[in-house]
Amino acid sequence: MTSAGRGWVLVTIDPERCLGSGMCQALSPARFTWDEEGMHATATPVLLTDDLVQAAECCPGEAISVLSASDDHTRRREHEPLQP
Amino acid sequence: MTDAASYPFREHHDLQLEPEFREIHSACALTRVRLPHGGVAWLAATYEHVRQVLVDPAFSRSLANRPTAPRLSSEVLPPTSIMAMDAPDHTRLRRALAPAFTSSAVERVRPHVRELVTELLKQMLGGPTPADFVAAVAAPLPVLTICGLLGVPLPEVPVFEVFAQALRNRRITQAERESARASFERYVLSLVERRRREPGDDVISSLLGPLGSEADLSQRELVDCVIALLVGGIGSPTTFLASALVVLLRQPELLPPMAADHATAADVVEELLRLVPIGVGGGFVRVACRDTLVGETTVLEGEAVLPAMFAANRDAARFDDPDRILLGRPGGPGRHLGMGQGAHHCIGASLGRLQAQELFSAVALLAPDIGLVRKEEDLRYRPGLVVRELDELHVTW
Repeated sequence: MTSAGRGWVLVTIDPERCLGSGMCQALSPARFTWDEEGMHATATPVLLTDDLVQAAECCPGEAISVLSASDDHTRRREHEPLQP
Repeated sequence: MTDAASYPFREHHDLQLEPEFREIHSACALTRVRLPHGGVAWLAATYEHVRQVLVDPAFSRSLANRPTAPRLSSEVLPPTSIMAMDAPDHTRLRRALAPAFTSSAVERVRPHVRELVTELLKQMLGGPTPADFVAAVAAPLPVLTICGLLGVPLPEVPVFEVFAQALRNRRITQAERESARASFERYVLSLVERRRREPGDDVISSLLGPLGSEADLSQRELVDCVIALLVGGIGSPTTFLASALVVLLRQPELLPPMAADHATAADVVEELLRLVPIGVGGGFVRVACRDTLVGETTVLEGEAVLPAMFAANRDAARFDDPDRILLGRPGGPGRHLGMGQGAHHCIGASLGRLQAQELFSAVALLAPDIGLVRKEEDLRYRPGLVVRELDELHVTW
């Protein structure tokens, strides 16, 4: 997984799936913030890094999507439904 | 430090928050406390402070898992134990375990858990009253659930029960505990060998990744993982389910709406996870790997911090009317720290939630008049420094 193509990605959190575990914030502190309303991913595109991949893969709610910001390529957990 | 208060604050515990925590919440500061082993540590007890200690990678579990480090229990975990690790080793293990424990993966065992719950409750309700809710339901349900998940054959389930008891008994010596662990490890190894030969639809089989791949855990890691899953998957849920019934029955008017609506039951369970204290003093101690500001206190590199999740969960600055079950609190499931937070957030959180949801929905439906034989203030908790645990809980219906 760590050999995933590098590039700019957009990170989103599905609030319906987020369990508020704080796992992503612990693994990738620069990319996730938390407030009283819940967890938020950084709103602007960021470079795909290993810690971001780890945060997405360890998420207990499978709530994190990491989408390429440059094309339609979509990276997400295999069993997560694809969205347009 | 001579001004450190002895901690835990009381020799005897119950489900009430010790009044000292109200003072700490008002002062909104870390406090120096003297722990039973290893000396003085910082105590974190407000919501913000506890959450930071759990989430911030500056606080290390592996540095805290040393015989000389301040801690509540005499026990020092093996260094390969997942609760004794930090990134990157810890992350590798969590990635291997994560797919089997996501909310959607765990949802698959809901019908099985529902059957187990119905069977155990009907058995209790069909027998003489009063009955011991711990022996009848709270103890067997988590054992049967986790054994099902791990693919343990039914005749071998007692092996798990015996070992879980040995690990949780704080009055046995370190040597006795190690001996119980060694014999259980031999059993787990035999189970792993069987799954290697004949993989099944179970967590152990899913952890046996392709040999040599990153997902392939070492034999040692695998055994430690199974033991961690067992200790966390049996001990804490049993303790929780018993104490949760006590807390729920403070507000019995919640039972009819829970029986009528599963979402209401789930909301109540979230409140129970917030309100029921599992630990006597808090969670696992962390040690700062660099100077780190928590609130207005700088925790120096090498200093220990004890995060008291149960106290944070009743911080009035975070929760209105913090000691009561209120439906519809904002913030979703992550609003409380009952399952921990951050890298060591309970791997079995979804499984634990699911069991509690199924159990208390069924209790509301099948035993709407359930009540405690003894008043809450007369219940006796097992003495010990680690877990607030009821030995028995007699109920009528």
